[in-house]
Parts: sequence; C-alpha cells; structure tokens
Amino acid sequence: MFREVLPFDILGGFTLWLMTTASLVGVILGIALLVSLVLHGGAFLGNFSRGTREVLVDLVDVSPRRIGAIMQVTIKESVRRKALLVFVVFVIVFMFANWFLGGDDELSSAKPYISTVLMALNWMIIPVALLLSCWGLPADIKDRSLHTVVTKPVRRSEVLLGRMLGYCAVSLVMLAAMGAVGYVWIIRSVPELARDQLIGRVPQYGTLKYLGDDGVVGIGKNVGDMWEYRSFVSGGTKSCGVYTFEKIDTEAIRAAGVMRLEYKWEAFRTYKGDIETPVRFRIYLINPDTELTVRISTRDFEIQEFAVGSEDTVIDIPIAGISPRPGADGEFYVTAAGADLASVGGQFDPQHLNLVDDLIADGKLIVRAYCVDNMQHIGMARHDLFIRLPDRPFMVSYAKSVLNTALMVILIVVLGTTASCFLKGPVATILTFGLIILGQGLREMMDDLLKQFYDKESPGILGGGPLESAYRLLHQMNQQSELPENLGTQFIENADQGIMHTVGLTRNFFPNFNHFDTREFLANGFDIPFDASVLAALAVTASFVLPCYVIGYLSLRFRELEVK
Amino acid sequence: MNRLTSKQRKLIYLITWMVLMVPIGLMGMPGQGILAQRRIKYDLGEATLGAVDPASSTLNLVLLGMRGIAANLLWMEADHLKETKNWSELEQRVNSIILLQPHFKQVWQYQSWNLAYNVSAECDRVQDRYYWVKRGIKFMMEGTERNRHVPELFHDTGFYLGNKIGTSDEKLQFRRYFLDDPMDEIYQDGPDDEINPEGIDNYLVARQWYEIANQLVEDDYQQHKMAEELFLAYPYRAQISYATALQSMGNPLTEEPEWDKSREAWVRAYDGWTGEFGRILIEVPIPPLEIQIRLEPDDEAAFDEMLTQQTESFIENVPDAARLTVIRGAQDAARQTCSYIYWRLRCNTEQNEQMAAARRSYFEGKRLFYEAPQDFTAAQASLYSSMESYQAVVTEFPELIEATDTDVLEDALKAVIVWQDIIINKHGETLPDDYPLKTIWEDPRYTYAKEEYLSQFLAWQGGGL
Repeated sequence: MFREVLPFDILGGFTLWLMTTASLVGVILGIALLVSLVLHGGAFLGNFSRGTREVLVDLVDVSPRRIGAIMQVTIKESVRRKALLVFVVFVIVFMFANWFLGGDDELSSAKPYISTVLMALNWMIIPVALLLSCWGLPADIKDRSLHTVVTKPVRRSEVLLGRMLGYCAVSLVMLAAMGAVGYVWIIRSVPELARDQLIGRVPQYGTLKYLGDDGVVGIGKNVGDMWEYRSFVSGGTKSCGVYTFEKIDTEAIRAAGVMRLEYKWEAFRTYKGDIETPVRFRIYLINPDTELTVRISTRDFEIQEFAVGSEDTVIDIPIAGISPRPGADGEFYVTAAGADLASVGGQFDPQHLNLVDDLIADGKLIVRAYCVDNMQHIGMARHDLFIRLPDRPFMVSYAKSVLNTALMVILIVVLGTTASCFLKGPVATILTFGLIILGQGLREMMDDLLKQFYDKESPGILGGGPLESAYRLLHQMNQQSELPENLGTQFIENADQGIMHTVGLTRNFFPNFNHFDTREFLANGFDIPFDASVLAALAVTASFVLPCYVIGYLSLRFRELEVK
Repeated sequence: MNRLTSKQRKLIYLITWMVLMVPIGLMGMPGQGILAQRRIKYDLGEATLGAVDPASSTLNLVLLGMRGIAANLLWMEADHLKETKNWSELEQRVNSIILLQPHFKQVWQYQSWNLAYNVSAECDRVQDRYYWVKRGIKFMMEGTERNRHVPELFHDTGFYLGNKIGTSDEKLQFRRYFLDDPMDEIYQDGPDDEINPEGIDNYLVARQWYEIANQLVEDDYQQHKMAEELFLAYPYRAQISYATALQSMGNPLTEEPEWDKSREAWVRAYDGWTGEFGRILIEVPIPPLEIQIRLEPDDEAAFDEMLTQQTESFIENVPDAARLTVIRGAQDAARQTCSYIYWRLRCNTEQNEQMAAARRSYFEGKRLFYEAPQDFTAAQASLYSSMESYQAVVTEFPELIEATDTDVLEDALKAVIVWQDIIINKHGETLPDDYPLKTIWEDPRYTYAKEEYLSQFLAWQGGGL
C-alpha cells in the first residue's frame, strides 16, 4: 500500500460542501434577481419571490408515482437501445482473459487478476453510464417526445429525477451482473499458489520514526533508491524503526488470544555475505508507560520479501505465556530479555507477563524493529508493519469495491443527465467525460500544484504556473532557470497567480474520482476501509446529487425546448 | 438534386464495395496473390515472422494509429512500476507492451534483461532471485517463438542460461535449481521443464539455443550483435564453460567434481572448437571487401580452398599476388577476435593427464585446507603435487599463462598462496629455496594478479579463494 490511508473527515467535508453549495446558490439567486430586475423593472422583487417559490415547490413537491413512470420508460428505452449488450461484451472479454493471464502455474500473485477485473468493470460501465445519461434527454428533445411529456401534469424536476433514477437502475443492474461474473472469474482463475491472497486483511497502522546508528531519532538511510517510500535502518547498530500504535482494540486481541503483526520490509545488502541466509531482523515490544521491553522470540526473523499476503510474514504473538527467560533456540514464543525486565519499573508479575495487561498501555504499544546483520540494511515504511485484525472474507471486500464503483456510476449519471439538460448529447458527453478525466487523473496533480502554490514556507510552483510553463516549453528552458526580468515576465507571473487562485477557488466544483478507486486495496489483499474509502465515495456522490438536481432542473425549466 | 432513394444508394455502396473487394482479394490471396507473395518474399507476414498472436494483431487494428502512444504510455508505466518495486504488475505491463510491439526485438531484449538481471537482483532470497531469472528467460523464449528469424533473441536466451545461471554470485544455487527447481509444489524435485525439458546442465541448454541462433545465421538471417566469428563461437564456448564448471563447481546437485565427465566434456569441446567451429565459412569485413575464411586449418591447401570461396568483388579488387596474404590476414584477425588459438590450446591441454592431475590435486588441497576436519599436512602435499603438475603443463604450454584468459594462471597462483600459508602460518616453517611455479610466482608480469589473489585470501581468511 503506497497511498496514505486516512479516514475521511466527514465534518470537514460537510462544512466545505455547505460553503460551496451556499456560494453556488448565492450566485444562482443573484443571477435570478438581476434577470428579474431587467425583465420586470419595479416589480422585480415580487416576480423574483414568486419564481423562487415555484422553483422550490417544483423541487420538493415531487410525485414518486410520476417519477416511477418516467423511470420505467427510461429503462425500457435503454434496453431498446441495446445498452445491456455491454454485459455480453464483458462476459466475452473474460472468456478469453485467461489467454493472457492464466495458464501459468508459477504466477504466484493474485494482483493482476483482481486489477484486470476492476479495470474492466470500470472501463466498461463508465461509457455506458456516460452515453446513456448524456444522450437521453437531448434525444427526447430532438424527437419532441419531451414536448408531449411536459404537456402532461408532470413537473420538469420529476422528468429529471425519473431520468436519473432510470439510468442509474440500468447501469447498476449491469454493474451488479458484471461484478458477479468478475467475482466468479477471479475465484476460478487465480492460481492455486496465490489463492491465499484472496483475503481482506484489516490493518491497523501506527506511526513510524527512525533511530539512527547512535540510537537518536533521525530520518533513516537512503540506500540509493529513487523511490523514497522506504528508509533503511543499519544492521548491528542502534538504528531501528520505531512504530507506535494507538487505540489498539485490546478486547479484540484478548478475545482472539493472539496479536498478529504483519510486515513487508525490504532487505538491502552492502556486501554479499551468506547469500543463502536472508537478512535477519529482531522485534521488541515496549510498554510506552513502564518501558517494559519484550523481545519476540529468541530466534531472529528472516526477511520474506515475496511472501506478502501469506502467513509467512505474519508473527503471531500469544497474549499469555510470555516467558521472562529466553527459551530453547528455534522455539517460537515470546520472551523477555532478563536485563530489560530488571531495569524497568511498573507493577507486573514477571512469571506471568501478559501482552495486553503489561505491554499495551491505554491502547498504546511501541514496536521496535532492528536489523541484525552487521552492515546490512532493512527498509521500512509506515505501512510496512501493522497489527492485523481478524481478516474479512474476500467477497466482502470485493462487494465494497463494486459498491464504490456503483457510487461512481451514480455520480456519472447525475453529472451526465445534468449536463444533458442544457447541452446537446455530444457536448454533454465531452463535458462529463472531461470531468471524469479531470477528477481521476488531473485532480491529484491539481491538488499537488495548489499545495505548492499555497505552501507557507516556500510558496510557488516548480517551473511556474500554466503561462510560465508554456513560456518555458516554447523557449526550451528547464524548471529552475530564472526568467528574464521584464514586463512580460511580470505579466506572466501575475496572470499565473490569478489562474492559480481561480483554480484554488473552483477545484471543489470538480468531483474527486480517486475516492472511488479501490484497486490498490483489493489487489493487495486488504479489506476496503469504510471510513477511508467507502464513506469518502459516498460523500463525493451525495455532495453532487443535490446541486446537480437543482442545476439540471433550472436548466430544463428555463430552456426553450424548440431549440434543438 | 439527388434523385436516388436511400435504398438505391445503399445498394450502390454495396456493389462498389464488392467490386473493390475483388482486386484486393485477388492480390491478397494466399499463395498466388501478389501481396501474399511479397509478404513471403520479404518476411513481412505475421505467420512468417513467428507464432501468430490473434490478440496482438487485433489490438494493433483496434488502436488504429495510436499504437505508438499506447506503447509509450505502457513503457512509462512499466518504468514507474519498476521504480516502485511492483514486480508482478511490471511483468503484466511488459506483457501488454509485447502485445503492441511483438516484432520489435529490443523490447524483448530490454525487458527480459530487466526481469532476469535487474528485478532478480532486488530480491534477497536466492529462490526469489532464481524465480525472476526464470521469468526473464521464459519471456525471451516467448520472444523467440514470435520472432523465429531473429538470431539475436535465440542467442540472448542462450546467454541468460549460460551467463546468468552459470556465472552470477548465486551460480552454485542457480545451477542446482536448474536441475531441481525450488518450487517443489509445481516441479516435484525436478527441473522447470519449460526452460530445461531434458533436465540437463544449464550450459548444455545454452549451447542448444546458441546452435539455433547459429543455424539462423547460416540460413542468411543477419545478426547485428557482434562480429560473426564471435557470435558463431558461442555454442562451442558454452561447451567449454560446461567442462570448466564440472571442474570448478562439480555436479550441481552434489557439488562434487566429476573428473571423468569433465575430461569427456573437454574432448567434445576440442572437437567442436576445431572440427566444427573452425571449419565454418566466416565472412570477415575488411572494408571495402568481405573476405570468406575458415579458422581452421591454416595450411596451403586450406588457403587455396578458401580462395575459391571468395566473392567476385574480391577477385576484381585484389591483385592475384596479394590474395593469399589478404586471406591469411583476415584469418589471423578473426582468430584474434575470438581467441581461437588460446581456446584450441586450452581444450587440448585440459585433456592432458598432467593438467587433469593439477586440477584434481588443487581441488583436493583446497578441500583439505578449508573443510572440517582440516588436515594441513595432507593439504600441503596435495597442493604441492598440484603445483608440480601445473609447472609441467606451463613448461610444455607457456602460451597458456601468457594469454588474456587467466584461468590457469589464477589456479596456479592460488595453489602457491595456500601452500605458502600452510608452511609459514600453520606449520611455522620457512619456504624452501626452490619449489614448483617459483619462476611464475616471482615473475613481475604477474605481480598485480598475485597481489589481488593474496588480498582476497587475507580478507576472507582464505574463504575467498
């Protein structure tokens, strides 16, 4: 897992949504007031309030029956347009997918199989949802079937809602069917050796700091990797990785009778040494209050870089039976170093040490990991060691992943239908697709640029804003070279400032599609965290439904249907 | 004003389409069509290049003109995955690149090297390293299936099997795994039959691949990797490496030397080097001429025969009197390029009883010195015997230690180092005034080599030798 897994800040998100929506409503009301003033002169206020009331009634007082009827028509129409054929294509793709992935007994990773299914699910359902939602209403207007509908006692808000719900229903049914096929395919196709990777591990991460060779807090070593995900600790020194876990569910551990630690560290050798013996490490558990230190096992552990997801990288620590003396070599159990026991205070019975009672203080535990072999190194990152809570079935994680995709489909349908209320089919498609691309690929880049732009310590983007970048490109300049000091440069810099401020202000109008992406969790055998992923996806979708409904309705209400 | 109805228009389109299809069909007809004939003539058809991959061909059609862009994106992703050590996905991405560029040989070469050399080196466990070496080799083998007429790919497959498995730091383990794959759950104490179907030594499998590459070159499929005499020497060099490995590393499974098998291998190596490789007609470019020579033999009759093999351009441009000199010069140059004389001599001497005795005694002396229970007195005697034999060999064939290949010199000097250590440090005695190999030991030309082996010995308490 290379992405920071942080719980979604629901309160912060809601506040931001409220502010953004309020500003949007403010803008709409302002425009309405202005238009009313221009059209009605002195009587503008009365007209404005009447109009606002009508809009509110239309938006709120909707009939489920009428919405249901439109939804039914939408579904029939979609089926008639052969939208369901995509499911057939999906099945055909997976009938042959094994040509490229399967048939290799050695392939000991389930990752490519899971990634393939999730990617195919995404890239097949997105065009369906996009095309259905963007072309439906414009086609109705073109065929004049909407003219007939609006002459009936049905509100335009109901037309919009019916359409949205209809497209959602079609897309979601297809997604569910494709999800089921994908699941069966994964279960059947993943090679025997990789079957144990089809799990939903539930990790609890801690924080990590490094101690240098002298035992003082430092930054860890760089062994020359371009990828700075891991820092390394040196063997045979005081250097180590210090993981601090908080809010540990001690009751769950007590109930299981065991605490499971899983690692994914990487070895780096500065000399060849004994190549048949992997680099070794040693782990200590420390009570943060009493500083009671317990070494896990008298044996040293050997790095297992390629057993990720299997039981080989899991260390089971029984909560009872911690012996105060080292036991027979090779026997796996928890033992405390005698010197450590003697040197610490605290109330405990040295004959009956207990993991939960004596080592975890208020749900907090410190784990130190050392590299044993002199001059060799072990690379550690924050997410490389975690307490593994009871696993969830793969099916549950997979279902959550499909749920996230379903939420994305709903969002696309909502955006597409809204766009189709004021644009023609092709343009609405391009707009919605643009939003997807922006929200998926460019959103992270945009956030990164804005982070650099608003950075308090060294504000400014490497290589400058869009205009400066364009200038550098044209003049074949690198990102660091100074621009010439003249009026043109000043203009470029000021314009860039304006553009970046605008981007900063408007970025929240673009949905962040990255929240729907669950591939990394599922493909790496992790359960999809509800708070960090599902909740975030739910929040993104929910936050766009209401504004889109209002915008879509207003567009439909005020548009001239005869304009095709 | 268009007076045709929609149906009429469609009918016209259909007829036009059918009419146009006739010449296209005729031209493309397998066997007789002009396009099909050209395809065969210039080796452009998928089927003539190698195994047809329907997915690959379809993908290229589907992407229309965007294949280059798609391939670029995939290369960037593959680089990123390599940088972030995401090996399994890297392999998948590489397979996707191959779907787009199945006949671009550099893709196969670059990415198979990536897997076999770069990715494998990132792992700590030897079994994991071997897994990735195999993935690289298998990837290259797939490349040879899709590109049946590219000698370099067959040659590279042989190179990985010989070089990576036989000479890397983990060669003892890799050679063992090559016969007894560590993935027992799949291969049940046997080799991975995809890369070693006959369950034989890695060098022998390498030789088979080199032989296919040579066959392609002989069939006029050009290679652009190295001088022809070097390229063609590889199968025979693989046989030499096999014989050497049997001496120095022994049987991969037992790690015991197999002297009889080794001598047999040297006999075959000599026969191959002089009887097969030496007799191949090789094209040596000496601009503006292309001269056809054989490396063996070098008597008058042989040169007369070579003269008859020369091209018209040679006959036109080289005066009668100078022809034999030019051919001799070309043969000499080619011999130097592939160290032909040295290897001929080496293959010859390794069959010699003295040389075999030297190797055997040296191996035995080292074993007695290093392995418990150590017996320094027996080790000293064995090493001395080895030094005597080496001295006899060197006296008879002085060129052996003067050549660029230092194998014999290395073993001879190392025998002296260990022998001296036993006398001085283990027994506390002084060196005798005279001993075998003394002239070589004191020869200033070998000072650098001597110091290097000595420092290895001291740094690792003898374990490095």
